[in-house]
Amino acid sequence: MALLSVAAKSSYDEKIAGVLEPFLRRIEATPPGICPISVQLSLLESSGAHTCGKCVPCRDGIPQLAAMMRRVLDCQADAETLQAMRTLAEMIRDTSDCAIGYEAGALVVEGLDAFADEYRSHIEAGACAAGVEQTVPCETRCPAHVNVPGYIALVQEGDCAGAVKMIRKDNPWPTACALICEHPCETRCRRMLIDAPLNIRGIKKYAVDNAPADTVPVPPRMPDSGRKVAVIGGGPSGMTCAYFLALMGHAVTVYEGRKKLGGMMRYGIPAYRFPRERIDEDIRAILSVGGIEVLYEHKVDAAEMKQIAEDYDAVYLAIGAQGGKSLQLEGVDAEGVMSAVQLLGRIGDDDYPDFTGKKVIVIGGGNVAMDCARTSVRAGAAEVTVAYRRRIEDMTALHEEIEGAMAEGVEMMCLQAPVRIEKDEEGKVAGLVCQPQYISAVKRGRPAPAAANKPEIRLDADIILIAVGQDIESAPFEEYGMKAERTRFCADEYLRAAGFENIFVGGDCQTGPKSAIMAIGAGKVAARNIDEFLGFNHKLDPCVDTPEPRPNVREAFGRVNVAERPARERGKDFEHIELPISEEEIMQECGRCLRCDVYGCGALEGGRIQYV
Amino acid sequence: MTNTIADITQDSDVIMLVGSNPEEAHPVLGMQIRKAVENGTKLILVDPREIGLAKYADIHLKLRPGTNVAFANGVVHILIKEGLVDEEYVASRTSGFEELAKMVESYTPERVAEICHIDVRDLVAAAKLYGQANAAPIIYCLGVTEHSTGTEGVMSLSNIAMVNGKLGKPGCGVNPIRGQNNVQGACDMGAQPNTFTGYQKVMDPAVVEKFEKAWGTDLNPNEGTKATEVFPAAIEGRIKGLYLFGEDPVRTDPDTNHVIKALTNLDFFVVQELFMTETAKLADVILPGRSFAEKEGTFSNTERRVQRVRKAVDGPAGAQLDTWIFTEIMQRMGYDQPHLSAAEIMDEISSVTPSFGGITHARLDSAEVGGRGLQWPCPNAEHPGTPIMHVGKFAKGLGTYSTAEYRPSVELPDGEYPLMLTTGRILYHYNACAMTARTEGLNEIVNSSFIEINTADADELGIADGDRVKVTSRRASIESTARVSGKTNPGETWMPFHFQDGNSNWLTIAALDNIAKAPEFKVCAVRVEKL
Amino acid sequence: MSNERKLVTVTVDGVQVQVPETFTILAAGNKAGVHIPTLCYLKDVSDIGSCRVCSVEVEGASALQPACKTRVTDGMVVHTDTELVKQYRKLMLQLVLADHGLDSTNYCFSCAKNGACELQALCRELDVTESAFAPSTPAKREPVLEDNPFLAYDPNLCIRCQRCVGACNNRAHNHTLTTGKRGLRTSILAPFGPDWKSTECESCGNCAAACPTGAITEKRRREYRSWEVTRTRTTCPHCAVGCQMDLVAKDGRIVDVEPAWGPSNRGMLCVKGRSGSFDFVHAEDRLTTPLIKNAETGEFEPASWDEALDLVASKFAQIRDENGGDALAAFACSRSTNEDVYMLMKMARTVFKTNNVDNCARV
Repeated sequence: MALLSVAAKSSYDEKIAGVLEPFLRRIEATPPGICPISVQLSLLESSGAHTCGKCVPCRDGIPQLAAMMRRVLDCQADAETLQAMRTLAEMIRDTSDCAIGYEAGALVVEGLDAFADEYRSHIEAGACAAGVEQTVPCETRCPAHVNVPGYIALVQEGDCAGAVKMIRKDNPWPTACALICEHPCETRCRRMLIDAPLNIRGIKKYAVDNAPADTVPVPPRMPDSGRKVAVIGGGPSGMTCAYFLALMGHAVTVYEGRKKLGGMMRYGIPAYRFPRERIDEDIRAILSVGGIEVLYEHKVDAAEMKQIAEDYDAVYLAIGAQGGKSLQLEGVDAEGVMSAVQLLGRIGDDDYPDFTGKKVIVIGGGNVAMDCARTSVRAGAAEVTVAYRRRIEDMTALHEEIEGAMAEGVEMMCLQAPVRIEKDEEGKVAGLVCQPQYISAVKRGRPAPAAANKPEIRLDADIILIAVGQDIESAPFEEYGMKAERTRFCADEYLRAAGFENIFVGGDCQTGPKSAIMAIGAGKVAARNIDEFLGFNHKLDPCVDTPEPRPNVREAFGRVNVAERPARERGKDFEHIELPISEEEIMQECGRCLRCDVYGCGALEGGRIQYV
Repeated sequence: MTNTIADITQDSDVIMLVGSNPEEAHPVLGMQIRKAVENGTKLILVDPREIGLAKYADIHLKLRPGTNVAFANGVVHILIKEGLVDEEYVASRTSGFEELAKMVESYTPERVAEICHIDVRDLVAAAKLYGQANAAPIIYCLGVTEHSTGTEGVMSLSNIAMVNGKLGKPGCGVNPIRGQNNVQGACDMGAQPNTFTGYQKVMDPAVVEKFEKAWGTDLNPNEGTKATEVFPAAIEGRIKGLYLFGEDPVRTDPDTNHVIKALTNLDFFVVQELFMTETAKLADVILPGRSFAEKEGTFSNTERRVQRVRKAVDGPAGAQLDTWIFTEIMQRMGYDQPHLSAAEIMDEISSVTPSFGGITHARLDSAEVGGRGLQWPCPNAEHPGTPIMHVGKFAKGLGTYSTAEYRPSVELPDGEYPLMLTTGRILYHYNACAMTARTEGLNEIVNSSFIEINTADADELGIADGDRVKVTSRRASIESTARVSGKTNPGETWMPFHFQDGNSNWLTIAALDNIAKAPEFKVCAVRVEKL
Repeated sequence: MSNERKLVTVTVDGVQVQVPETFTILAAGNKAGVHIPTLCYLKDVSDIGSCRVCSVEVEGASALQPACKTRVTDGMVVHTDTELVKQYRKLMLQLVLADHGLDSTNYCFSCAKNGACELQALCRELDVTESAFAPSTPAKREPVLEDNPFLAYDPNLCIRCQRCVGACNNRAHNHTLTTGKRGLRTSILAPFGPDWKSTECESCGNCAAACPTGAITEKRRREYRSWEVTRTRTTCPHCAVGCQMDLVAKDGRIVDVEPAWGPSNRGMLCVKGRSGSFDFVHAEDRLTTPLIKNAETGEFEPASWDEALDLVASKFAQIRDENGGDALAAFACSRSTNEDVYMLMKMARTVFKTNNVDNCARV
């Protein structure tokens, strides 16, 4: 027989990895606003590239299907083509031998349903549906549509205060977003075509570190409009709305239920991630506009809401999602069991718990669970364990949060579903009993756990923190008459509360618990639409201009990350865990910006999402 | 064959292939051996050449031509030494084991390896591989029989199978792959000087009496002369008249000069043929017969399987059915032979041949047989035929062993003729090419003589691949084209015997096997010179 | 080897059958009397399941299953005639047809296999008269490989079912004809091009026998249409394997050979059987009249059968009578039939009065 060889059958297998990696990045950098049919066609053609050529449905069917889809994409097809495409795609799905074929078919079938409007538009209107057009990725992906290339350019030119002004044009929380934003702006960064997405949050952090928000003057307030607006809830959404309304000259009254402003950024996010003095910088700047009256520790009930709606020209309801979800667990009433919201809420008012020597178990796998675990470490706990039903990779918490917690000594007990809480004779928590799980079929897009054929395990515990989600305390407002679906307030895309003329609603209480930047984006939209409702069309001057672009730096660089204090050290206090970024680092990082606002689609009419 | 092709290629663990190149000489069997090996059957190849199957072989014993008996005796020696004798089989089914054991005592692996020019370790490994297998056929071909010790070679191979208990069982046996399409049938039909149909002995008076009665005439009671001995007899004048039916010995028999001398010395020589062959040119009368496509009949393949031949076309006007010609001659020589159809002839065959008793054209064409033919012995119309011979008991009772010792070939290389010449077949042609050379495409693939020479010998002789060379034996000189490679061992050459432009049979020796009288086509001594 | 094959119960289109668990759905369908169309499948040669024409619905399965290679399981319920199955079958054929290069043969008119093409037959069976699809490469015209003396490959007609590859691998076990696994551009690498002599191809033609279309053909196939010929089952006249084959004759001439199933050849032939077993039958130099050598000139002269036979009879009788039967000998042809040999043997013994009868077994 022939000699065996250790060489790869195809010498390209290794080399091709060098193409696949940029290919993958190109897919990741898919610009927002792209026509989904063109993406589907690329996908289908990739499947065509994958086919081994054995079977008719895949080998012959995919090119024919792609040809039809190409005709649809080119707006050269009719409704009959769509039907033929579906039949062929279903045939490929149902008869292909391997996943290359049947997944290709399935994806087309799913796409025909998911993007039915777009397909119809190509057939009937001979064009993409409205809104399908490319826009600048970072700016589009930011819910507040902050002029990202603009402030990066300002930082690069050494104007951090200008950068803060540029951020503030759309978002009065530059410090908050510099420290705790989930940065969706980075997800489609075009820089990925070359190396990696820009560290946009890092650049923003550099700006506010070097030009604290409360030292950068806000734009001048416009003349008094004579209109009064009530904002219920002094969190990111409410205060954003208040800020812009105040700048427009409206008189704003903020009803805040707690002692301080900031909402979940103060009462849900621990200080080591967002130091209290830093949140105050943003709040001081916002209040410095003038025309904003804050009523602290003022909870609004149904009767007062009715009154407010009558007394004010407009109302913006942004109460967030401040209630802690609990679990239907035996023993959940034991002393020592508390929700994440309870724990973090107390800390927000500087009431730090003392867990010295205690064994703490956190139930949950989200960012809040990590916050609880890391807070427990700092509160002196002897052992901190996170019990989670799924695997680490299934946790909804950010990867760096999980890594940070583990570095600080938190034990991740994955694939453990809590069954009951054991109490001692005094009714205090003694332990948590869990049923081991194994990861199983994907349900609704996520691999779901199933009970494993293994005995229950018991974990010792003195404190159990339940971090399985937040509730919206919608009851008083529903009682007043506002519509809500499973506690989420109903509103249209302009945030007009269903059934009311002058009430707007947004943020977590409308979307369910989401990110700060989404709440901020909602606050900005609400302010604009309230201004419109009140009969105005105020334009705000950001008091800063975007610098002229520099040419693209086409050489590939590594992405500069924000460094953190050593885990051993930072776990002992509630001080901020992040370290400053140096000037040379940030200049390199800014230099990587491709200035999509100027180069490419940003230069086109409609290529940007900006308003002043 | 004792077994069937399906049996030995599908139900065996190990195949021992000796002196056979089925990929070229029996290609469809070769395909099935390749399949067997790909499906996991081990292959022991015993052949002097690096034939195509060598790359499929687990062990290739590239032995010196003419040393098969030594090889077989050596294997038996090793089987005994390694405790691989099937004691029960030997005791119950064979006789004479003690004599065999005594004879092979001196065939130590070391001695045999030296005789055969092989590695002693390979020999031992091959013997063990065969001996330890559950089912293992020995398959052999003309590389075993075409020697002056051919019959002894065959019987020595049988020794191996019997000692190891591998005869009369599925996936085993000793299986000659017959050379031509109906060699088996020609022998079965009594075209032999010592047997009538179905191997009924001429020397048995009861048999002669039976045929005299069946044919209604007196018969010659003396055993006849074998074909290869007819030529010397013709030269001596003892044989004066020869009727040759469809053979071309001038091209296919050894020592062409000798053959021509014999044929020209005859008083009267008749050839019944399709074409004007080299042999026919020497005839006094040529009678044109019909080809297989123009007649009804049967062939018996190497598995003893009798299968139908059917008429597809009329053939050229003027030629006659061969059976018509024989019948006419019989009639004209005073014997009352009626003209019979092929089916009627087969009826007569079955009536005089016990092993063909159940074989008729009607049955072969029946749905019962379903195109699978019938394997003799098939004694009556109910008998399904016999796929595997010697099951439970040998036809002749107890199996007997050959105690033949190794004898060197008659003509070995020497100073004057330093190279050994072996002859054989290639894939694209058949024997004297009477049929295949009339297909243009086959000629396009290959149509002329060549001689394979080992690279070392060629270097020494200053011969390059593709050079024209002169090949000389004690009998004649011919010209051919050198193919230089490692296919043959140093000191050994090989030629196909198909091509008239350099026919190897001018060179070969008419030395005959002492029993079956087959010529030693596989070994003679030659000298090769660059032209 | 084991005969203890477990039986399972399968229902095909409502017909319940018991079959061994090693059966495919196709085989079970056969047993149930349900015809499931196939294209790329060839028993013992290829079951790679490339055409998917045999896809059927199996209750409880997440997708359609190819009947040719899906093993049955106990209690399996199969539907082969649902609207979906029928629709997919047609679609599959249309996909195949789109790239079959129909225009390259003027819609079958100039194809050697017209009338003997399995694709043509299947389209007819399933009522597919045209393809809804355009050729993936319009006006595809690839060069036909036909340097091999016997075999030709027309890539324009290839439907890439790979039965030929299965034949080379699983019949001939020669592994010379392979698939160029180039994804969408998958093709057959047939060794019939200008370099055919340097390949390992044995020209056995088992690939051509396996090809369902006119893509791989014996070149002889161009000389006749399937409806012009008669086929005669016979045994190959070359070596002793005894392969079964059909002689294909047109107007009294053999024009081709097709392999047939026999116990020793199992549907295979070699190059000699397939291509070198009949040209000689119609060779120009066949002897067509008895010849008698003129003793004086040494030249052969045509003679009548009576002349020749009388001469032979009288000469042999004379030698026999003068020197005894042992002065005569007769050799049989070990290429000829048993019946011929028997009669020659009988002639030698009864009228030559000799046992000097033999055949060429020894050479």
